[in-house]
Amino acid sequence: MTTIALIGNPNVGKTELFNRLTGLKQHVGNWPGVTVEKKTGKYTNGGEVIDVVDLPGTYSLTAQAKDELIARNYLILDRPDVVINIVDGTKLERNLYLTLLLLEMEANVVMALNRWDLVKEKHIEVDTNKLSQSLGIPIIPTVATTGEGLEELKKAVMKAVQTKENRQKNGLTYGEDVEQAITGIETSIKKDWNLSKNYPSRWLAIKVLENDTQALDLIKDSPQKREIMGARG
Amino acid sequence: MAFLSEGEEGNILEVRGGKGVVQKLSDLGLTPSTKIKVIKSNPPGPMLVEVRKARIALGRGFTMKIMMANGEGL
Repeated sequence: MTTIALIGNPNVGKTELFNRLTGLKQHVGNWPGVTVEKKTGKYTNGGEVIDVVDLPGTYSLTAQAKDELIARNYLILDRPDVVINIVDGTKLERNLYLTLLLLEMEANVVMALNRWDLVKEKHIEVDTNKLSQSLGIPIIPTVATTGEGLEELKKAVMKAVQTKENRQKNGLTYGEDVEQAITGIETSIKKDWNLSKNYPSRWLAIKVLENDTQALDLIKDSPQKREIMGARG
Repeated sequence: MAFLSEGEEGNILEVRGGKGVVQKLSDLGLTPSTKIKVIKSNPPGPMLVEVRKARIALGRGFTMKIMMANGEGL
């Protein structure tokens, strides 16, 4: 079974796209333990049933805010086959921050570049090929309100499911000093098979370096804890 | 930033606050040298600012923590 998740900043047309994808077959529930709405639905593409999960709209993925933590836990623990990152094409700079966070988590991202009609109306030029190349992810222009680009998006999702294993890693780096620290921590994390099996090691290393509460909690019981914390300096 | 009036623009000099505040604001794109414009301000209530082509509302408390480098020579 294939599961995909929708994520994006608030107000980018996420729910609209979700409704477009799933029609009326959606189901509203709660994320366990918290009162943030959970919406799931499904659609069929080429005979295959695709489960769609709508994640809370967020700007970031820290462990500080409840909605962000839900989105992040879902992405890290449930590992959906594809993550559709819905981006407001008229506010690219702001939206791409979340995209980078998703790539850092090694999520299998397909970008829906939404509000494409407004992008054109406002004469904003977006070189989707170049953006797609530099991020290493497929980018599909969409207009959620009319359904434009929806079929292409579904196709891209199918393709991303099939090519999941040999997806290229993004090469975003943070400068020599930070990279050195990340590599040090990552090396220690990789020695703990349990950790590196369950979490993207580079992501975890970055979070440990950020003093992220949840990441520190994850390594709490690791036999490598001392070494990881030592590498953190 | 809290003392800017509607329509005023400026660049962020620094964010003075704890790790959480700095993290939250930079998540929203409010980092040093970023240009912002005040769209609406209702003291002592929240402010609506435009940053990186996006409009965001900020509580007064947050805006007090954002130091501005305003225009001429500063």
